[in-house]
Amino acid sequence: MDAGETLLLLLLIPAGAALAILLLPSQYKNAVRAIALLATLATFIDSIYIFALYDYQEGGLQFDLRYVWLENVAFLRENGISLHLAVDGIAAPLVLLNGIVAFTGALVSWKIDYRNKHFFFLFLFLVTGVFGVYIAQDLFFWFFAYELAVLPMYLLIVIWGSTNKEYGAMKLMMVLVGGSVLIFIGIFAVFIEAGLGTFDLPALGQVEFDAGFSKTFFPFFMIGCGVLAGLWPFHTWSPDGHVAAPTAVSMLHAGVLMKLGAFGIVRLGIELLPAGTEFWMPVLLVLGAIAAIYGAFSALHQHDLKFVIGYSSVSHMGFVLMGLGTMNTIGVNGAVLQMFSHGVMTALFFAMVGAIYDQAHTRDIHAFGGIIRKMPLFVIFFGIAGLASLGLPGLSGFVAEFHIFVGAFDAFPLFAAIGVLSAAVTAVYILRLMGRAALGPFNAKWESLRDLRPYEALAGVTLIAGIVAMGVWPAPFVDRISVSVNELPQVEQIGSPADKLPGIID
Amino acid sequence: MYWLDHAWIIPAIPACAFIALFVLGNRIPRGGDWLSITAIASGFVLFFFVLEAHLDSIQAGLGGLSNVGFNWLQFEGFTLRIGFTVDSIALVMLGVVTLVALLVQIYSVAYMRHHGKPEPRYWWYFAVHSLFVAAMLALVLADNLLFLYIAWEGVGLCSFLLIGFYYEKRSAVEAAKKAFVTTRLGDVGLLIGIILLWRATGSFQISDIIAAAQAGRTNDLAPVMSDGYLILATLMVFLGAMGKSAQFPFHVWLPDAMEGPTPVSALIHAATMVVAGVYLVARLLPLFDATPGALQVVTAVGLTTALLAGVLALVQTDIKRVLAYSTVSQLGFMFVALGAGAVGVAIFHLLTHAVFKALLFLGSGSVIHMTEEQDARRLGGLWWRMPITTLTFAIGALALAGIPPLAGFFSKDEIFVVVNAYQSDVVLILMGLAAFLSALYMARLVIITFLGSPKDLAMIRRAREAPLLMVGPLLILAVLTLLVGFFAFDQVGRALGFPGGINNYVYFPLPETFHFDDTIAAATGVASLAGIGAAFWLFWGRAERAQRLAAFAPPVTVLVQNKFYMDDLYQAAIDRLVLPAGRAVAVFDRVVVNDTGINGPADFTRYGASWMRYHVTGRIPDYALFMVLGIAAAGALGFLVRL
Amino acid sequence: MPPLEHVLVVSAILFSIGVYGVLTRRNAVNILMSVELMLNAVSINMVAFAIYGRVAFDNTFTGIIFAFFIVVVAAAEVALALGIVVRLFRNRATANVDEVNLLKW
Repeated sequence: MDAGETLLLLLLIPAGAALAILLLPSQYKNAVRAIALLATLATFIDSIYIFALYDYQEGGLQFDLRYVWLENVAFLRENGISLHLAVDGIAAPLVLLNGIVAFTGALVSWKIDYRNKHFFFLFLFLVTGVFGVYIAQDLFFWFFAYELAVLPMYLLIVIWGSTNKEYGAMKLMMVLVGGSVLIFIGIFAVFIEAGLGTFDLPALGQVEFDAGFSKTFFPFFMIGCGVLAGLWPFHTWSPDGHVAAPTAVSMLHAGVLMKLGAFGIVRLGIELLPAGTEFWMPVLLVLGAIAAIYGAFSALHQHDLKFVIGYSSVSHMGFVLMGLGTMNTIGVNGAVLQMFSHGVMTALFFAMVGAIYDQAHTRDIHAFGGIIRKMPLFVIFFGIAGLASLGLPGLSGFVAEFHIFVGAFDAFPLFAAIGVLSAAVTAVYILRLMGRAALGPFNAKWESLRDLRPYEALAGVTLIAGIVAMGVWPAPFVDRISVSVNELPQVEQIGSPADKLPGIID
Repeated sequence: MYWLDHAWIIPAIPACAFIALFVLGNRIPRGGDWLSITAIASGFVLFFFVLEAHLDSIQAGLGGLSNVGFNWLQFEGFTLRIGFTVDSIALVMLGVVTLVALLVQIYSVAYMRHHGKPEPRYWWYFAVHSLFVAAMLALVLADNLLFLYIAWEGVGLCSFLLIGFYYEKRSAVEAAKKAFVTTRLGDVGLLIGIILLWRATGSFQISDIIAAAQAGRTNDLAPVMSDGYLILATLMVFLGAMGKSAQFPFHVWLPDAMEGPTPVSALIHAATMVVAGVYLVARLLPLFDATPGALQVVTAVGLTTALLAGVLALVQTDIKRVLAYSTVSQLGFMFVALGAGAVGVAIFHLLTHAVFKALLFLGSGSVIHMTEEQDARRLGGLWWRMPITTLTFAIGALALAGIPPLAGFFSKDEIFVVVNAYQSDVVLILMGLAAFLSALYMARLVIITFLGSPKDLAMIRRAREAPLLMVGPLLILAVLTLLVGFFAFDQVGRALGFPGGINNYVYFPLPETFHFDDTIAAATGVASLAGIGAAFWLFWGRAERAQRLAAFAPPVTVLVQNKFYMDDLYQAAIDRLVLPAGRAVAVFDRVVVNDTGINGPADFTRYGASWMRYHVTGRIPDYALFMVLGIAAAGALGFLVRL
Repeated sequence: MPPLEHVLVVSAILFSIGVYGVLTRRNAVNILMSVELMLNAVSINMVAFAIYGRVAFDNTFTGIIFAFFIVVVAAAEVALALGIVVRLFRNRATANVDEVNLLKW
């Protein structure tokens, strides 16, 4: 098979499976589950294939595929709107991330019984949309996929959610659509200013935009996409959305959806508007640092498991924005690493929270106590996610955060120190949570709890494999990411020892 | 020379053992204790191969340094390396860690059983032990700060897991959390320090960083870092060392860490992990030396800690807590030695301390295991029930007190010699006071635990001498305590292959041979004896004199008994500052950001709509009329604009 | 051929009748028929401009094509709307739009 088609499969498999599910009678629940699981497994394998075969020595866009949809009509010229798919080194790990999270999300959704046909239909469309954002190289389809990834969230939360779900879903929708409006304006501004009559991203990337234009329209992308990445102070949709959403949707929401925002800043902001990037990035860094410390302190006070993790997501996405804001290779590398790391880590968190909520019907930390006695596997998995989150070496969080801190110290030491401090606060709330809920004297109320079911355990192991793989051997990730980060305009390289210590070491 | 380049195998073996134990868990026969012990025993054996290779290399004039590794991650000029170096400091630590870990694990086989049955999670205990040893050895052998930091966090994790081993107990969970968070605060400093040093030099290699720090200070090259920058970075690194080595003001976590099983306290919280801070400073001493004022800070911190912990140890009644404070105090001694620039001396004290403190902890462990009591007030008179434990414990205590010719005497004497040579007299006198205190609290502990008359007859009747697996390591450590001090002598060193004694072996700029100073030796001997005498005078029998002394100045007594209120101060800081800050942020987030910032516009829209909705009648003809009017208006507007 | 204005006047009259019908009738079927009148008025306009402006528009048939579009759309619309009306009548036993005002706040 030609390389480009494997990329197209990422969209065709989940979308096709979604349509197939729609055609099934709704009482065939197991068939629905099986189709969804097989489809996500197939995309997972496909995403591994793409990640593995991305040639990092060559770099650039690979697996290129283009079907022209409209050209040379009305205001469109050559390649006006085309289904242009390709991955670069930044998208490759994120495609893999989405493959993992979609597969594990389908696994833990196995137990969903109420209207499971419609659930999986929407779920698979969400997955398709996310893949589309990562691989689309055409602004029209990029935005189309972006909306496709966001819109099913509303129904998924409202129908299958819990705890104040109408409010959570409506807020999520309104805030995200508000962000979309900004992106939409930005996209048209770029399209018209470029005057090429094409929405093709690589072509637009070649255009040198006027600095004033660049500075004016960069915030549209920064805030529009940033909203989805939990940019402070537009982050509150995220914890509320997490709390309301069903397990698998929380996983996708925190695991991949929030990454779309940060990815959008790279794809649209940094790649298209370098001059604006240079001007606005310090603001992004400061907002990221604020989100990091603010989210950590907020999490300290929460006692709902999902709120703790929701705010920790805000904090960790703050690191991502900080990393992007450094505008040096190490920091931006770290930001992309953190996207992957945070994706698998929070997916694991939410999978575990879902596993316990289904049995206990509460997520209050204080209601639990010593449940390791009943659910040892649960506590181990949750603990691994927690340790990754507080940046323990050997797990993915450390590699990512370390890059971000190094980059940030080189650019803005003060805010970098705030970031490091918030990593320490992370340790406090994670250990507090573990100490309260999982350890300590056993609360006899929970005598009836059972440990993880096999499919939940399988989901957990898959995600942990991702966490450990990146923590122990990050080179494959860094190889791919760094080659594309290097190609970004305005991102500067930091000197090597040989540059910094001339004559002192050889 | 093969083993010099392959020292990495030593940590690799327990790491593999950990993976096997973690994956297979209880499915391994006997919970896998044999696997863990074999791994560490082979490490201990391999240590001698490495040592021999190192000594050969030195004799062959090759310097005995090795540096192997690979690039873990690399792009452009940014390289993260997993590298191993072997030098004399690393070798001493290698020997200490493997030996103590081996003995402690053998001891644990008996300790972690009750009436012949293994405790729950027996396999987990050995799994984490293996991981700890692997991480600690990696820390020791690391040739760059990043790898060192990785291992540093690894040992911290193991410490956390083992302190919290009895996680059904709330106090154990809290202690584990306290240990992790307190050391983590120091680690924040260490990480910032490492990154700051990288920022200036572009390298994590210890040798590069030292060369950069020395540039412009000890040679004529152009300086790389300004004084202020270097001071900041170095002190940040030192913060990490203070956290890990429980130095003032981070000392609060170590006594609480005694919630873990006693062998864990012996290995991690006495002999190995807590000396990681000392090791780090020793390793980076040229950096501290090049940094203006850094060594003075090290001395001040060490001295404060030595005195403070010495005083606190006096009033503790829990055997393990006394030992914990004495560990803190002895670590302070090592930092004072480092502050005087004497790496060899600090490492020598580290070595002897590891041996006799492991002995003391294991001795207390056998008391606790056999009597199930660790409050010294209810113990007493154990000597005739547990003679071997008593004897070995007494040897350890005398060594700690600094009685010749036990190990502690030589190493402590060395510290006094360098303090006398390089520091002011005030430091010397205060150190003398600290030495007096250590003799006092150790003698007190021995008196109220083992000597005197029993306070609880039922308990005494229960007490038996510990089984062979526990007594054996005690005896081995006791013999080592008797012998290891002589490593300082040139003759002994020459016989073993490192002429000049251990101080000369543990290199550094100027060779430090053992200077036995009669005056100082006599003075420290007298101080120790005075401490022991005072202890007998105060605590023998019913300890009436001690009570009278306590009643003499009640406020002071209360102050000391409450650990100078430092734990309470930290608790208050957490309760009154950190948690309220969290609450403030959370409330701000709800009220201002969410309810006002996000819901506000939504409410505004809804309010507007509540007024606008009245034109929506629901009647189709009305809609049609509006449409027609709208189109007519649009048409009219079109005409107007056109005209 | 009559002049263009005549055709436009016919179309305008037809459109006005349609508007009048939509505004005054209360029966849903009547309203639909009036809407059809309006659509047809537009179609006449389209065709008229297409034929009278043939030269100006370069002999293209855009206007006529649009008229066809309108016919098709109108047919689809009527099918849909009549369906709604039938459902309405079934549910409420009336086709009077004044009595159907669910579509409000």
